[in-house]
Amino acid sequence: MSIDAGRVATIARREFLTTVRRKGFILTLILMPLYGIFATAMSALPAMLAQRSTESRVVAVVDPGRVLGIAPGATAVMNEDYKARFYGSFDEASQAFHDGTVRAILRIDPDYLTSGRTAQFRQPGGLLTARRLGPPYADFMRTRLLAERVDPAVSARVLDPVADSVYVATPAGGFERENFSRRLLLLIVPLVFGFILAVGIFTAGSYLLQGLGEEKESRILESLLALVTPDELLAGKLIGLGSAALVLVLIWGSLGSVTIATQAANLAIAPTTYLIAVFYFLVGYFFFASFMLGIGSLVSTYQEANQWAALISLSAMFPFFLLSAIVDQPHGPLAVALSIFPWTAPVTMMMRLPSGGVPAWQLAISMSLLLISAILMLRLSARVFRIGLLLYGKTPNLPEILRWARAS
Amino acid sequence: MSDPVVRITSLSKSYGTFAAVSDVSFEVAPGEVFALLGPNGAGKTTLIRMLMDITRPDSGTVEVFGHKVDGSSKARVGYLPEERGLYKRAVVGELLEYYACLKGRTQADAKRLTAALLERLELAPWTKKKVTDLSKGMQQKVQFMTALIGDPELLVLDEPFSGLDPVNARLFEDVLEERRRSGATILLSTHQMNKVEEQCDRAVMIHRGRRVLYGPIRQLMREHSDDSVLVRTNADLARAPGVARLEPENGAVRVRFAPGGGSSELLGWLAAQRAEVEEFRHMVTPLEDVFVRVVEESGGTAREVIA
Repeated sequence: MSIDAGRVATIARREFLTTVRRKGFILTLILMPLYGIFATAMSALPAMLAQRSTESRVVAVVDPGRVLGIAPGATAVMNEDYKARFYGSFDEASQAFHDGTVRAILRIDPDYLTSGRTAQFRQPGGLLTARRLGPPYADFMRTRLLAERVDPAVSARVLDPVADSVYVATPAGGFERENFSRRLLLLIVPLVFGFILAVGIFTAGSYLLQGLGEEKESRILESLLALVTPDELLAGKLIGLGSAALVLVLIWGSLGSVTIATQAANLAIAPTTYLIAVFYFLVGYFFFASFMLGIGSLVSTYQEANQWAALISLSAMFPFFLLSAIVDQPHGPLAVALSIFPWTAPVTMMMRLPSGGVPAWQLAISMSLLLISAILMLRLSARVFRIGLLLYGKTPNLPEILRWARAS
Repeated sequence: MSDPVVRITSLSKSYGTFAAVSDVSFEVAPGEVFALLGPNGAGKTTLIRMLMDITRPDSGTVEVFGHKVDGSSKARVGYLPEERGLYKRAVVGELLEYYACLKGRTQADAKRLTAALLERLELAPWTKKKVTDLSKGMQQKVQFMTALIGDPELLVLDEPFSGLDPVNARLFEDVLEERRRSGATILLSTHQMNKVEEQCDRAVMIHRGRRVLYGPIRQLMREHSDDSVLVRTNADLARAPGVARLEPENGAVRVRFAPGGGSSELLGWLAAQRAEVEEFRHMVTPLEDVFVRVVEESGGTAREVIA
């Protein structure tokens, strides 16, 4: 069937403009980065709240046996957040606690060294936060106990016995010093990359399905198909909506890259990673979008199309559910399998790539398989599309679809 | 007849065991207004879809402008489907420009054609409005315009007058007449027989997927009329030769002929009698009656026609 490039361009232009002018598209474009900022802010919120808390950061210590070697009335630094004030009796400490001058009380038995007994007194509640934000008694006591009895150098070694750096294996066969902030970024970057890619692909795919659903439901297709061939319509829609999605991905991707670059100059993402990302986006988009178009040509209402769009998107987002496994072991069997299987390849490979060290053969297999699947999917969908377009009312069953695909 | 604009040859299409169109052939000449008739479910829409290359035939051929239908001929045809539909959120002007561009017009050309058409169909003030903001009648006009835009050489209109109020129906007829005068060929499928009698040159009628009538409208009506004349005269018609029956009708007499009799014989006899003849009119059966009769003769029921 011949394809007229002019008509394809006309359809693509309309699909692109209609999509980028949609309120939903503009909201997605703006809200998604805002959501990212919001989510980051929310994760930092408990720590920020704790810092701004007006509660006293002084802990009363009652140590009648001078086990920690500090006299009543003196104050010692526990850590950057807490101070310890020593009281001569429990009654005094209790008074200070009820006045609100101290946050909690630690009572140390006079024969602590033999009995090991201590008691903590504090306000009720805070089951979840108490451990995290509570006073660092153990570290403080360890430090003080050692300071009174052991040579300072030995004390320092006891408190931090394995302070040397950690080295991790590199793909080249050597080792490199592990960097914690880099590790953290290596967790976030794949998430951001995978997410941008997935949202880009599925936003466009969903619009594609919804558009087709609308055209079928409101009977526009018949007058449209009198003017253009189904192949032209398919191509125009794929290109137009793909371009709209590319706009999303490029804007988000640039924002994300700029953020990463400013936050972590030491985290260099190889330029080839970006090129590969564009490949996975484009081919992944064609794979899923043509599948959705095939489905879209078989359903008869906007609503039905929407349900399918959600179902397909959700199934392809599957790697996100296994995020920790993939990021923890980016070269483990699960991650490798998911990054080769075409349905999950675009999202999974985007999660694996930023950590580096994906073997070339895996990339080659994954990319070729995805490309071949996309071409096959496009051809199959084009056939089903040609026949399914004018089908109203009844959704065909699988044998019928396969018969059409063979016949057309 | 010069080369036909549409040539349908032995066209057939089945859905499962149901034959929607069976071995139908007809031609539409350049510049004529051609009617595609048939009761509901006769196969008209299937036939039109094959003509528009939306549905593929099982066998037979469709030629438009002398060639098999393909992408290039689509731009020369304007199509108004029976099932109407527009993008609800689209802006009227932009929508029509889109259709014009799909018919191969440049953007500037599309703008100019759109403005002219909106002006002609009295919708210019709504150019920038969304389709959903228009009344039903206005939406019908916009739908009609999507077929007319780009000045197509062939217009294929499926039930163009259905659901129109008399004012809009007249407007549509006027515009179609203008298009016809400027050389366009029009193929229309309709149930409104009075419109067909008034506006169409020739017709094909299909019933249960098969062609049952085909030819010039007048000829079809004559062939299927019961051959009677209405005469107002002072002569004693009972004595006229070849007369089977006389029926008084509003002060005149309807003469029904016996085999061998006919209007020319009667006219000759009246002249020979030197009778005074005030009125002598061929009574042609209305197309609607022909339609019903043919459907019934080919095994259908009047209910099918009315449905």
